[in-house]
Amino acid sequence: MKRLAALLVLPLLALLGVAGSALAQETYKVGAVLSITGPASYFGEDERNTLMLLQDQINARGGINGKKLEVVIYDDATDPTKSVTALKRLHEEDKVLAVIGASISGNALALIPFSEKAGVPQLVPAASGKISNPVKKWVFQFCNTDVQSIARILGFLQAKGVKKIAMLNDSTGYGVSGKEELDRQAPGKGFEVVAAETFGPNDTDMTPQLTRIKAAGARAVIVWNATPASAIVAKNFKQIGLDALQIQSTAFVSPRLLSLAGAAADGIILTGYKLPIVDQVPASDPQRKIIVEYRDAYLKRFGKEPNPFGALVHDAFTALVKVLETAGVDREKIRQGLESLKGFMGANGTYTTSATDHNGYAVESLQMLVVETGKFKPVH
Amino acid sequence: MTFTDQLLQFVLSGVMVGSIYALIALGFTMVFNATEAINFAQGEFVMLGGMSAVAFYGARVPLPLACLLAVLLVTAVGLLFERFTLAPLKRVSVMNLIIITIGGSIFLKGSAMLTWGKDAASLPSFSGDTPIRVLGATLLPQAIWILGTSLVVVAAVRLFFDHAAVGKAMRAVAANRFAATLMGIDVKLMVACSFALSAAVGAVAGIIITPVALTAFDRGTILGLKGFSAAILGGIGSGPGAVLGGLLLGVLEAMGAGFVSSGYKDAIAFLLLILMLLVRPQGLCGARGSRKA
Repeated sequence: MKRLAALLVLPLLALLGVAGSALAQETYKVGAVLSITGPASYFGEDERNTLMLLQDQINARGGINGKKLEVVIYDDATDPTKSVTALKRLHEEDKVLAVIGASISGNALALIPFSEKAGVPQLVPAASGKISNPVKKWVFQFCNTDVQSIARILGFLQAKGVKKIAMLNDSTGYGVSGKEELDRQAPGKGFEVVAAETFGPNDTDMTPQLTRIKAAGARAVIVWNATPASAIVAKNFKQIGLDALQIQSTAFVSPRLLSLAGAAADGIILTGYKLPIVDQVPASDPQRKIIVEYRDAYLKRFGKEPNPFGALVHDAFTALVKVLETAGVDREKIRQGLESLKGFMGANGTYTTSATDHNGYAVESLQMLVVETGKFKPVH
Repeated sequence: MTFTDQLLQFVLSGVMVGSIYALIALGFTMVFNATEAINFAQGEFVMLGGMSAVAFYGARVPLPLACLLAVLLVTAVGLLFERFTLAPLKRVSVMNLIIITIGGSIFLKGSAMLTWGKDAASLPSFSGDTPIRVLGATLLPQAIWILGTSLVVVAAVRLFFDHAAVGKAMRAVAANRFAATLMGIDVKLMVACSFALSAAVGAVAGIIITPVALTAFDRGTILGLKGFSAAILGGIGSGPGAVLGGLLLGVLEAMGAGFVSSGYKDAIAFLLLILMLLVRPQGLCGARGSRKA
C-alpha cells in the first residue's frame, strides 16, 4: 500500500516541480539596489536609467533565449541599512537570478555577506578594493578599484617627479578605502604623505583642511570622495591659492560636477573613462562604437548624456546578459559564467575574470584626464 | 604658512560659516518666542531659499531679482506652512507642535526633491571668485557678501523688534501671551508673522551660502541642526544669543577641523550642544530659557 502511494505521489511531485520551474522561467528576473536618492543619487539616477534603457532594448530584440527580461530596482537612499533590506527583498520575494548593486562601496560592502549566504551573484559597480579582495565566491566587481586608480595616479606623479603629497578624503566608505590604499602604496614608491585630512559628505567649507595641507607643503593633493562636495573642494582649493596639483578620483568624471565647480575645475587631473572624451577617441577603437551607441540611446530617451557611473552598470548588466544567454536560470552556472569573462568589452573598459580574480577591469582601460576650460581632455 | 596665518584662516572660515548658522539660529529664536516650539522645518526654509533662487536664476531671471523672488517665495511658504500645520490646531502641547514641524520638514524636503530633482546646484558668486588676501589668509568675495548680508539682516531684525509696532507686538506675545491677548494683540497673526519672518531670514541664509557651498534638496537637515545647536548654545529665545552662538559654533568647528581632527567637525557641534544642555541649559545669553523649558 505504502509503495502504491509513493508511486502515485512521486510523479505528482515531479509534475509540480516541472510546473514550478516552468513558471520561474517565463521571465529572467534580475535585481538592482541603487542609491537613487540621498547624497549618492547622482550615481543612482543614471544607473537606474541605464538599466531601464537596456532592459527595454533587450526585450525589444526578443529578450534572452526568447524569454522576457525583467529588472527589479530598489532605492536604498544611500543608506547601507536600507540597501540590505532591499537586497533581502530581492532574494526572498522577487527571487532574482542576480543582483546589481550597490551604487557606492559602503553599501555594496554591506550587501556582500548576504549575497554570499544566499548564493545569489552580486555584480558591483563601485570602486573599493575590499569588494573583490579577498575574492568572494558570489561577488563580482565591474569597476576599476581604488587599488588600480591609486596605482595609476602614483605612477603619474612619479613621472612628474612629485614626492610630497597630501590626501583629502571624505568620511564615507569610498573615501576611507581610498585613504587606506594610499597609505599602503605610497611609502613603497618613495612618496611622503605630508598631510591627511577628512571631511563629511555634507560639509559646506573645506578651507580649514586645505589650509593645513597648504601649511604642510604638499606638491600634489589627492582628493577622494564621491559626492558633490568635491566641487566645494575644487572652489576652496583655488580660494586659498594652494599651489599644488589637484588630483580627483574617478568619481569626479561627471559633467554635472564639472558645471558645479565651474572655473575652479580647470587644471584638475583625474582617472577616468573614455565616455567623456569619446569624440576624441579614434574611430579604429572598437570600444568607441559601444560607447556612442549607449550614449546616443540614453540621450534620446532621457534628454541628457549619461555619466560614466551609468556606464559602470551598463558594463555589469551587458556582461550579465551575455552570461544568462548560456547559463539560463541556474545561479551556479551564472556564477561560473561571470567568473570566466575573457576580454569582455563594455563602455568603460574591458573585463577578464577568473576563479582568483573577481574584478576583471583591465587597468589599461583607465584614462588619465585633465580639465581644460570646463571640458575633460586626455592628458598628453 | 605660519601658525598665525593658519589661525587667521580658520577664524575667517569659521566666521563665514558661523554667520550662516547665526541666521538660521535667529529663525529658530523667532518661532520659539512666538510659540515656545522648535520649528524643525527651519533648515528646509534655508534649502528652499537656495533651491528656488537657483530655479529662478535658471529661468533667466537676473541674479538680484532671482534672490529677491526666492525670499518672497519662501516667506509665502513660511506663511502657508503655519496656516496649514499649526493654525488649524487648538490647544496643543509644545511637543505636538515640534512633531508637526518635523513632519512638515519632511514634506518640504520631499516636495523640493520632486520639483527640482536630486542634483546639487549652485549660483554664481555675487561678485566674482578672485580671492581677497587678508594678511596671510584668503577670503572669497562671497564671504564678504555673507558677512555683510548677515549683519544687515541681524540689524534689521533688531530694529524691527525694537521699533516697529508689529515687532513690539510680537515681543509682547513672546513675553506673555495671555497679557498680549488682553491688550488686543492678535496672537495668531503674530505667530504667522514669526513664521513668515523666520522663513525669510532662512531663505536669505540659503541664498547667500549657495555660491560657496552648493545647495541640494537634502541640504536643509544638517544646516537646520547646526542652526539649532547655535540657538541652544547662545540661549534659545535670545536674538543676540543666536548670533553669538552661530559665530562661536562656526569658529569652533573650523578650529576643530584645523587643529584637532577634521573627521570630528560635526561631532564638535553636537558635543557642544550636549555639554551646553548639561551645564548651562539656558545658554550663553538666555536668562529666560530655563523658565520656558
